[in-house]
Amino acid sequence: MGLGFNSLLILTKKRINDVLSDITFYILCSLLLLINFIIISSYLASIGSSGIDPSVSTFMTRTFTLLEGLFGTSATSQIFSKGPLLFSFFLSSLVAILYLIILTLIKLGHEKSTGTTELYLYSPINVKIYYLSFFIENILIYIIIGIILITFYVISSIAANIFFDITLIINFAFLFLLFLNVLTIGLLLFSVVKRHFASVFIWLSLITFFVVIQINAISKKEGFLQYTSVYFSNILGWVNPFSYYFQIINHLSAQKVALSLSYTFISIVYSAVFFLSSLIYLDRKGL
Amino acid sequence: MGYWSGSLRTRELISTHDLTKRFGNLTAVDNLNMTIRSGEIYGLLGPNGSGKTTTIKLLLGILRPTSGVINIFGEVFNPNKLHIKSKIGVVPEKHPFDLGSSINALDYLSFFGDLYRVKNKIDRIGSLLKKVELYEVRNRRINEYSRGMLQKLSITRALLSEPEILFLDEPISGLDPIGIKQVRDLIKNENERGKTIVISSHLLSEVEKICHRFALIHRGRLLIESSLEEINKMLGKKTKVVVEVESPDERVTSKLEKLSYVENVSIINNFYHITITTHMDIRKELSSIFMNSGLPPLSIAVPKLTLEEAFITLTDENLSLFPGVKNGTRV
Repeated sequence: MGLGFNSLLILTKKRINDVLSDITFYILCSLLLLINFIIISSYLASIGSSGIDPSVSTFMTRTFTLLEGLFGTSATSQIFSKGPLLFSFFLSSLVAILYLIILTLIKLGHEKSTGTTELYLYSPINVKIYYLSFFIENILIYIIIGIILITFYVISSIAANIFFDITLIINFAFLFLLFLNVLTIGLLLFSVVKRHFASVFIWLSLITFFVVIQINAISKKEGFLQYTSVYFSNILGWVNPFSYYFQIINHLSAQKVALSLSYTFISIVYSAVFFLSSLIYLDRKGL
Repeated sequence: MGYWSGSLRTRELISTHDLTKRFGNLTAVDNLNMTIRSGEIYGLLGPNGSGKTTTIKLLLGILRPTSGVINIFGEVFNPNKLHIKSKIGVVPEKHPFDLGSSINALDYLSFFGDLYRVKNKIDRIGSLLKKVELYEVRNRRINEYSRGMLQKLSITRALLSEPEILFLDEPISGLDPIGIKQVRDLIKNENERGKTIVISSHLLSEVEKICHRFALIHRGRLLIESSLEEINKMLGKKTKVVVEVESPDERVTSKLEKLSYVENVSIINNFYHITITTHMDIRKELSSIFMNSGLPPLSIAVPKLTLEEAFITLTDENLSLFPGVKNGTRV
């Protein structure tokens, strides 16, 4: 085993151990399971003889109001057409992505300010290994969270007789790509912006902006906001990671597999470009 | 085997060629040319903000030079050469705590042992901890350690992989006298075992006791790179000799002033302060002049130049006196 590979392995192992021995990870998992439980049980309570009746549950009423406000009535019905799992999984994934990336950026900043990064870079670790360890750690923790959620859905679907659609697993893979896109944006921001809290702030603002643009772009509502959002969405389509996710999903549901695959490929290239850019930048400039 | 006993061991381990680092308009390191030889204790000295830490960070690949080249072990260094980094141990000025909130000395060292692929890791950690007297507290959390203990732990970590070169950034700063002695002894021991040691410090008087050669850095420029003896010789042209007598006599003053190497003589109380322009031992000659004049000297002292004095003499304002150290070039 090469020196670099050994360093990557040891550093990644340490990072994963740190996350798994931190209570916040378990709080996050409990919170996600609770959210899922509430959504699923509220959904089940809302099912009547004529389909879903959101007025039965206050939680579902509010969720539907929010979703209809964002996406329109038909899109909201579509979201729940295959049961509550897809929506709760999407929501849980977004929360997990947000948690993991904020945690990573804070950790990066903390390690830099305390001199830990320097200490690592004095040892047989270079910037590539240092960043890769964060990258792999995030991927593995995301997969662990995904496995916990999917296990919960399998158990729920058996216990409550809910339809477990295999597209959930496919969705997990595409959300994973979205996660990589968003993560690499964060890593690039951290490399370029010297103040780490500024990089967290910029990243959060950027992601919020992208989410708002995307939500409005796919919304069925008419008017100035919708028009502006579509306009921005078209311009920002190439840099907005959420647009790739929705393009993949939309093309897949429209049976356009080739288009869906090409967007998948572009999404992977997107992550690679951002990740490599941050590595090249740090390699040239140093810390 | 120490540095002085091994005269053949003068292989260049690290050398820099016109190394420069600029941060915007500020030039932190300015055309630095220095050479660190195998087996020596090398002092990178200068006041706070002189560019020492920046130089160390450049040498270790944390910062990228604006221009210039660094050679380590005969290879042009870049931070991606991990095999070079694995032969270097570093004790930074800061002691990071976030390597795990509840980490103890054993876990801390074990992690770095794995990184460096240390053979017989447990035995090696145990013997080093015993050596630095931290073995008894090996299971205590390191954020409960005192500064002195952290410094020793940091040195232990740096020694774990048996590095060829050991870099210590301000190793005695903030330590109590016992801690300073312990660290100094540890450095001497490691050097006697064959390690090349580079110490960066602003405490000139402390490190001059252990360093074989020095680089005095001021405002990012190398003022001089030499041993204290050589610096002494070079600045010896301006050495003062202090002669104590029972009652000074003006006639002796005129006799002394006639000597070719005497530049100035002044009398303060019972002491003759004679400024000379040679580094030869002139005590015998001075003694006979005083004796012949009926003024037997009670003592003749030639105060040795300290690094602090050398540094003050060599600052920018006086550079013109030393043609050999202009513009940061080596003597």
